[in-house]
Amino acid sequence: MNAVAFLLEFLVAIGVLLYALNFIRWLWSAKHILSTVGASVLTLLTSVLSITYLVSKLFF
Amino acid sequence: MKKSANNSSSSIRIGRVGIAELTALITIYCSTDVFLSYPSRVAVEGATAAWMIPLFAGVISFAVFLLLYLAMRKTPTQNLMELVTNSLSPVIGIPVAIAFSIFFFLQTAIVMREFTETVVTTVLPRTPSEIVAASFLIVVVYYAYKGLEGLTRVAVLIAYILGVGFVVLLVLPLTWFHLPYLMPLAGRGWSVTLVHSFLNTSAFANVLMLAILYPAVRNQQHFVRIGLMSIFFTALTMSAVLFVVLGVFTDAVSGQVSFPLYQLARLIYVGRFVQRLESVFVFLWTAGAVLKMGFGLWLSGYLYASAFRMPVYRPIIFPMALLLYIFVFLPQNIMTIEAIESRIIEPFGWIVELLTPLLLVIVSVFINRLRGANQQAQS
Repeated sequence: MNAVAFLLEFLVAIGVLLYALNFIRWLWSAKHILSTVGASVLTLLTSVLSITYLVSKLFF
Repeated sequence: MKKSANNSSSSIRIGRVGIAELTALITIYCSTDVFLSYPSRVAVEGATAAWMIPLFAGVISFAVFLLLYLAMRKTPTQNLMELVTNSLSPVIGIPVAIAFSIFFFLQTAIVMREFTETVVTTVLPRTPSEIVAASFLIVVVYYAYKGLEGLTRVAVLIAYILGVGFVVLLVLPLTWFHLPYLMPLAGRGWSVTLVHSFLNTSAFANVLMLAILYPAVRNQQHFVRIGLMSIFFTALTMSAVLFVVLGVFTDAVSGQVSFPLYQLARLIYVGRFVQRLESVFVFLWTAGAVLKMGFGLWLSGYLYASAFRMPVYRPIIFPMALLLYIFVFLPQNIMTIEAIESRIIEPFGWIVELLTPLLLVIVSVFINRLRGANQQAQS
């Protein structure tokens, strides 16, 4: 059960982060510089925290 | 002709909403706290006069709302952040929007954890918290993705059901109600009651929300009515719940019960076939909770997107939802959440929800007038 839950959370996190990266790429191509910065900050924060959360769940 | 909200300086399209819809949404957002530990917290603060605290807090909030409206009515196409950005500077406007976004985000995370723990401790004790939170999150993301118009329409539909449910939940336990439990009338004294009423304005996010959603109101002539009705219904709901809870459990016991409204629903006994109506309670509770969390996530996403001048807000709902899921599990347990609520949000929430918007709007309007006077003098 724990392994399945972990895998599911991992896949959801990867999916969301890929979606966010695609949004950043779109903002960059549309030359929304401030928006790209905002979206990048949010994605970076989400990536770091989701990896920390998953790692902590795996090892602790 | 009035400029459309969709063409204002923030280019994000959020649509237009009616009076009843917005009133219902904001009322549900603010009054859903009664399902959680709010009644027990206020019962400790106000003792037998706790039921008056939301009423006094409502009066204070409405006075602030009126001041805010008087200052904002000259600029009907601009919300709070646009007004600040255009009048003062983007250097102030952008951090203010980010701060409000973080505030609503953290509030949503706290509410989600509180609702999750409440579900686990009361109705689904063997289900892991992660599953309950994830189930909430799916609906919350869907609501937030549908935007303000979708949220307000659902709110107006649910409002009637919630209203009837509340009346049933508050009337049926009256068989256990004792009026002497509400004496002495002044509780711990009028001064203590008034101080806690002032601090409890933190429960009234109405003012800040209305300042943000001002241009989205379809008929802005009725804006005061939305403020008045949403604050009135929120105060009335909270006060009625506290009145019945105190009259049934006494103030000493109410302060010890984690979820007094749930316990009240469990007490209902009107004959053999009408008893233990907590299943009704759970339905109302979930309907109100997901709407509150959905609106919180939407507001947070919208504010973040408008701070960074994004053309759309929807794509950031998903990363924010993932972030929300992580933040929900950061506090160790429900006691930490309650400590955050009683030691941080309640004593200081009014600074974000009432004082900051009021000061920002007054300074912005003052500077606008000063500029106008200077331009007239030059010409």
